[in-house]
Amino acid sequence: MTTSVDGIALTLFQNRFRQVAIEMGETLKRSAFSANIKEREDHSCAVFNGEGEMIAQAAHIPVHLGAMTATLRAVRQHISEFAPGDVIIVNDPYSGGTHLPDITLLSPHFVADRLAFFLMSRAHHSDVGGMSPGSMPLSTEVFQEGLILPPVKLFQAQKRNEALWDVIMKNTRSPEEREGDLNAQLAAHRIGWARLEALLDQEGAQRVIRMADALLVYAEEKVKSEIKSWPKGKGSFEDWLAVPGTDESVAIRCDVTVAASEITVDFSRTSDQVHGPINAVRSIVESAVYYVCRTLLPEAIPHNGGANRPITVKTRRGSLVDALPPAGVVGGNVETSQRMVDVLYGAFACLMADVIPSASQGTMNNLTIGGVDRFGQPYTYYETVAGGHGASSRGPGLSGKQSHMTNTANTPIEALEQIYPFRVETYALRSQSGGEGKHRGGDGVVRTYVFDREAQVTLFSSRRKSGPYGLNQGQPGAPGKQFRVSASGERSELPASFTLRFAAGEELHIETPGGGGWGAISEANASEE
Amino acid sequence: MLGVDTGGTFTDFVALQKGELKIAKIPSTPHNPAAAILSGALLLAVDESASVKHGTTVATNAILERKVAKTALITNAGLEHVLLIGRQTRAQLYGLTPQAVPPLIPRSLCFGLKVRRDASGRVIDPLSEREVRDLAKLLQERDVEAVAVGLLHAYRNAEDEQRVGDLLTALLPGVHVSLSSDVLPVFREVERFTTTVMNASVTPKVSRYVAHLSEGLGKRPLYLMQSNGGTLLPAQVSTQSIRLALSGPAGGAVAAMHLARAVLRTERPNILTLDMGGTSTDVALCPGTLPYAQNHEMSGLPLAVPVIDIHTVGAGGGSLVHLDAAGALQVGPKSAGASPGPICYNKGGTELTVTDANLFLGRLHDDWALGSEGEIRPDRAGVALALQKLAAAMSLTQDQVAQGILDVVNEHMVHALAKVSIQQGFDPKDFTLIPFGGAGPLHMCALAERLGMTQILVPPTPGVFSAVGLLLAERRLDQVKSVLVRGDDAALPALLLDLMEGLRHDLLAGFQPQERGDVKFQWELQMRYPGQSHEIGVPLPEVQALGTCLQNFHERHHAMNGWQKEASPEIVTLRGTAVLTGPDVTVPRITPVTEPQSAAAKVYDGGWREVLVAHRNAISNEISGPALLVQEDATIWIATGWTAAVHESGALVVTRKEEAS
Repeated sequence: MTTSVDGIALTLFQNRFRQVAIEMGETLKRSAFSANIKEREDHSCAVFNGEGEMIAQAAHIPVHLGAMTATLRAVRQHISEFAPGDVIIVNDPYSGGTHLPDITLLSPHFVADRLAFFLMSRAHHSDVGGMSPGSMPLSTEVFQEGLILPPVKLFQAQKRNEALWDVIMKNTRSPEEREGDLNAQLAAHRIGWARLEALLDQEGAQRVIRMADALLVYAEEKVKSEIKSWPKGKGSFEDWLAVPGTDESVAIRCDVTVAASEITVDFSRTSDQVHGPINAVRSIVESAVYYVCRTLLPEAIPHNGGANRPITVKTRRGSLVDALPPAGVVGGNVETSQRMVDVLYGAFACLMADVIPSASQGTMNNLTIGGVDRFGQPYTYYETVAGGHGASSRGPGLSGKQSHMTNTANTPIEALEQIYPFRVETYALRSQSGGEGKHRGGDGVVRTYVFDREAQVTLFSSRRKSGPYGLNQGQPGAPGKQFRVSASGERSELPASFTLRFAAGEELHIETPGGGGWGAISEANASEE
Repeated sequence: MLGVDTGGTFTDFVALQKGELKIAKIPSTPHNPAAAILSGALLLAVDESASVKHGTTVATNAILERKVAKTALITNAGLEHVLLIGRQTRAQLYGLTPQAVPPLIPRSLCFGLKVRRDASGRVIDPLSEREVRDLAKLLQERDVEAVAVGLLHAYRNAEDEQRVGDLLTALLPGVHVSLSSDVLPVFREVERFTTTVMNASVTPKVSRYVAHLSEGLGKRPLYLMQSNGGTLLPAQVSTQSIRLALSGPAGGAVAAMHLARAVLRTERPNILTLDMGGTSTDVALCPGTLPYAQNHEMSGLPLAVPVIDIHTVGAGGGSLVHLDAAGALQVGPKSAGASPGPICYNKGGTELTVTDANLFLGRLHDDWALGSEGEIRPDRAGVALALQKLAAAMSLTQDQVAQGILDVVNEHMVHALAKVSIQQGFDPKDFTLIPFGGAGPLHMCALAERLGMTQILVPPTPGVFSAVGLLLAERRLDQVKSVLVRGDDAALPALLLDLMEGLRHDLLAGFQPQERGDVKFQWELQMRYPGQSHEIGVPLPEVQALGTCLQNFHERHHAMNGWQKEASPEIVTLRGTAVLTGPDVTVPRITPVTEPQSAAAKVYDGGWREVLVAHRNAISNEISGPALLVQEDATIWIATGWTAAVHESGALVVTRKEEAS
């Protein structure tokens, strides 16, 4: 057995820690009840050391990434005493959460009385109350968005806080699903700790803890050595995001500085927070920045806290991307996070024009449908719809796929129609929606719904007035659109974001944005489809 | 009887004639795989009436290389791009410019019919035959060779698909038509339609290949290995060719189960298989029975027909070693392949491989053969030089680096084995490891130790073990039906009886009339708690045992997920399997080609030491590690702490010594 920390042991332990997180995620998905988790895989799991630095995570949803480290930081500001068998629950965006539907569980784990590890799971629950079914409302303040859980102990030394449990169940439209999903999350923690304990038994606690630290240093060194080879300098970019329910748009601005072996990303020049649902808490910015940097770094670098050490993120308190309570934040880690990515890539493109792809659809097209099913039971359904990817110097953009901060799967139409009182009539690529250029942007998607029974529908989307940008003279992708089609066939265009009732027999059509083209049209090769 | 397993580099033969077993390895002929098979049959002087059981990669390669027939998809209007969108996820989460999975058929050959049924099978928009006729004309103009028909909710009601199929068959003679309700009648349209398109698109090629091979084999009856570990007749290939997609690795799992039953003296042995080849390694966990996958992915495409749940990792003996930018040692996924091969093959390879590390540490004896073609003199000096360079860069010794290469590749194997065992709620301690393929028996002890396993079973001919599995394979057909009823529904037993009767009838059609009396049936219910999406399969011996079957579901759920609930599960699908077991095949022991002899050699095992090197057939009773056993088709490394004993079948039973902690 090798005693020093060498290259071999690094690879071994990188995989071992990651395996713990992967297995937690598998357990969560396999036994969950929300379509969000079991079909769409809108969840993430991670392992942290006792100091709160992330050692490994399962690659699920990018927007959860950086934010999970911030969660642990915030929880530790609220709770200083941990005991074996504790499980902390939190969804408060202003104390470590992202938006309310993302419920996070955190469990501390001890090695010989020393707090050595934390395990964390985060899942997007299909309903946590609030003003509209599915808890993705067009709100103006966080109180309208659902039940707020600051960091509290759901389990104290293995004993469940029944009062808290009851409060949670009373504040959701689908308590059975909540119970099932939380059970699945708890199972993930049990499995995760069992695997970690086995590793501690096999390798000895001292070695495991030392290897965790070594992996953080290793990732940091790798990222630094990569950055050294990047072009140095400063790039700036801005883009505008529409405020739902108003005619106004707000600016997201970012300045990226690449120095010797570090990156500074500054969002301070972004507009002030708004009276609407698109504000974001600071941890979302960290997720977006880490995501973009990851895509620019080699895949083999471990995904851990060390990899983020060379990256400094600056925001301004009270701005759109570092909001103060009680601003509405439900759209922060969906719509606003996608736009942050577009702005970040725009800034990096000033430094490395040939590497950066044009903008992808830049929205998640969040659709929430609620009502009463044919058995008289209330239901809530949430999904996000894919769109076009931006083209790049390498070739055309992907058509009809999730991009950037999300990668949730669709619910099969045959599964959806068995359960819910609506049908999906069309689900196809939206021809010619990708921006033109040397390489074409990917096409968006057309998805139409026919309601069998009356339903309350909320759409939360962006990129409806102007399309995703093209780079190097590429044309922008087509902006998205949406219509209501009445039972008699009358078509009326709807705004980017709305909450409306649809009558039985009415249809909703959503056309998602295409990706931006890349390079001049004059250089296009006719054979490219 | 002849078992033939076509691989990427070699075609493996195992001939069983007059109670004697002969093996051969012949270079594959990828342009016409039948050529190697026919010359092998000639070489081994295979009887004119011997049956030939064949594991083929024709369907596999057609899909991997996307060299398939010109195929059209016909689906509901509005869903024409269902295959291109798929589940709307991208494969590379952190790819700067994620790339599309290359489609099997282009966007321009996807068509929609204005027809629709709801989830209960009720008509919303009726089928227009005129629309089908117009489309048939278009397909004729486009010269399509095959058509896949996939309509929503056809798992519930297949009338529209059948009508479309009948019309197209009549209007387009010579064009193959696959219906999703025939290929895979279960819900989830993306998976069902993709599988149907795969079936349609490989059928013309597979049919031609099978016809050509049958002709060459003359009177010898041909059986083809399916991904489910059983064989089917050439006549069934025209409708079921996708069932050959993972034909190759299935043989190994079948052989391993057979061997384990004989040696461990139980009908339901718990085994973990490890088939470690040159570029990749296949592992499978068999908890008393062959495991079947619910959601398999092949080349980025969902493959939803029953396949033995074999997990493949891109690491094997030929995997290349490199140091990444931050100084960590990495092994694979790139491989040296057969050409140029590892450095030690002396065929121009310049990059270190796992095989080179094994050679350097003395784990491969100097005189070993590669294939039936002849011997290769390993290039020891070349390996030592490459290791020295790497050792200098890492500030380690050559020994440490070579051992490190094995540790890293073993880690990939451990992950693969853990994925199919620990992650599914099974403890490897309760399983016997069965290593085969050229490299499996070299790595077995290290892997078993890492997983806490104490028993290993080394097959008599590890290098051609998949071909042995072909000899042993039963005839096996399976089919599924959607149920979608809760376990406590009073109507369930009657419904199951009805569905079983229908499946029994359909499955028997795949056997010849004189065989039907001997066909046995197995049933499995795939269940979940209402509201979940991932099903767990539980065997159902008979409808009367439904209560026990439901109880077993709760226990399996608890074992996999750590919790269970009171609610009655929902039965999602019923799977029926029809099995026809042929006459018992006894695989005789192979007689050694050379006079067994022993020697001593220096081998690294935590330090350099003198160890016994013997021909495998020279071992008559127990032998303690460290020891190196060589044979024609593989090398076996018995590490310190392990003891090998010869079983009457010729297998080696390798166990961890009691006193070793």
